[in-house]
Amino acid sequence: MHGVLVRTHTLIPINRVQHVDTRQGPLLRWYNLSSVTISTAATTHEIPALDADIADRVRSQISTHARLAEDDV
Amino acid sequence: MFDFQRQHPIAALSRAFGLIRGNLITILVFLFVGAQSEEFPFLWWIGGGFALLLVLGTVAWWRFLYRVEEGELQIKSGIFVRKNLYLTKDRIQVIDISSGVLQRMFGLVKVDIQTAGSTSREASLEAVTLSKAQEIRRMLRDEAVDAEGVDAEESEEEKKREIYSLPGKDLLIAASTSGRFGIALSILGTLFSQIEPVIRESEMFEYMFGLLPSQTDTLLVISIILIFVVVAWLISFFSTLFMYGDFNVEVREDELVISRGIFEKKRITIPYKRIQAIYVNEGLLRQPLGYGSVHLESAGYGDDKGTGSIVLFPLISRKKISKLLAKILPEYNLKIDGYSPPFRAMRRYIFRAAFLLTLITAVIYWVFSTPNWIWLLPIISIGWGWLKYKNAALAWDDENVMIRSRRLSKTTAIVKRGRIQDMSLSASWIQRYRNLVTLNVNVASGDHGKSFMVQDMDREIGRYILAELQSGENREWNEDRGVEKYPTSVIVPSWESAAEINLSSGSRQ
Repeated sequence: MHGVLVRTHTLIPINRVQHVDTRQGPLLRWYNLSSVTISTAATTHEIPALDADIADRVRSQISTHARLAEDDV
Repeated sequence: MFDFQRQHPIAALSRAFGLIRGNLITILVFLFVGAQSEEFPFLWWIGGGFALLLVLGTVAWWRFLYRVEEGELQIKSGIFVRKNLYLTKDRIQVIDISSGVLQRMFGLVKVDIQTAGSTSREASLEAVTLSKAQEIRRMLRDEAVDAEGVDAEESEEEKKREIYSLPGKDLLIAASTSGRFGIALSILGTLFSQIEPVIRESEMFEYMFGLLPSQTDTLLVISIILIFVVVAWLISFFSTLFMYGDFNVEVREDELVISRGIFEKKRITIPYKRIQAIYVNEGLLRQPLGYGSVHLESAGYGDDKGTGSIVLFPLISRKKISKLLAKILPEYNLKIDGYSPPFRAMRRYIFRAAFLLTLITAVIYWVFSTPNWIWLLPIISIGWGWLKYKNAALAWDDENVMIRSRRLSKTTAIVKRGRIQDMSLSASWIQRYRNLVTLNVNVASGDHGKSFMVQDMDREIGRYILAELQSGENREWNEDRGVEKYPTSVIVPSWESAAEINLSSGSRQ
């Protein structure tokens, strides 16, 4: 869920996730933040500026679940 | 075939033509810029450019080596950066043998090899002899599907299960109502704006001017526009004719084979498991005549542009869509109850369609003081907005989601719920105020994916479908979805019934 004027609510089924990244630019690193990027076969979504620890946890959790799900495309 | 070898030298030429085709617009722009500078003769540009491409093609051909060894296709390519591509037999999903004009002139074929990855477009042999292509195919495929080249089609007849081809009459209708018309018109327009100064100075212009019966300015403009439209239509007519001539869909056990083209033969193989969604397009010109075209989205592979959209059937009468789907892709032949946007969404549809055009019209009207008929444009756009509102619909059951919407043409998309990559609801602050929501579904297609959208649905309906998708296999959710509160208002799709199939598969009511 994001957006101020246009609010968007996105659902990504966990077995559709192809890979998850965490990214950190210099600014985010300064504040010890990090963004999680979730890619499917079609689109890429970002959860911006999470606390770095939380971002790491989100990433590893998603990737664990995604690995458990059987993959067909 | 254990040694590295080159392709047939024609590959160099084919490569050069491929480069021209890929950069046509750039080349044209350069040509016209070049044509305007005096010291550099026009022909030099063309000749020099072509020679350069030919040299490039030849070098690329020289540096392209391939071999098949132990069930592995190995390709070395690249002029400066060497690239080694190794494809193992197990990973190869499809081997397509096709032939373009050039290949056919020299009795050669083109071999495209697809894997699940996106590098598959690189694994293509531009020009090899048919026997070699078949040898490669045999070596890379376990189930020895020998001699299945383009020329060997006849002898294969009894092995194939079913073939559906496009009747000649339908082909003509397809060609004359093709949407490429608009594209052709816009290309012509840019071309004309480039060469217009050249023409204006030449005697040709004078000649044409003299040819016209009356020399008033309006008549000249109108006749020029008319010529444009006719030429654009002719271009689109013939290009569609050549593209979809000889169209066949062959249904096999686990894949579809689509072949098409009169001069340039194309052959696309689509394994069923790679189909992500199908959609039916009813174009502006085709819808009143009761025709549409059927497309499918395939994962990982499509045409050269990186999209996964493939034409499954270029033109079909609405009444026959259901029949065709029942035979080719029965799991997509459905009819389910759905929802259309609420009445309060109508004015948003109309506003969105008409607002910009009305503004532009008003400005033009005041600034240039054009005649009153220009106000027809906004009126038409109101009608267009209303049509968009009428056509929008969303339906779903346990396994499918259907989205119907209109931009210019009406599109009905059917997506298996398991194939949805993501679904999102978005609402602007006005939409939130009106309790409306825009729903977007993404499926994998080619390199990027394809999205289907329906605007201004009731927010509760959007929430339900999202929650239901979230619950995954939890079918019980259906009952307390509150369907009673929001009675279904439409049945999608709107073409001829699929009742028999629907009953037997026992989907929702």
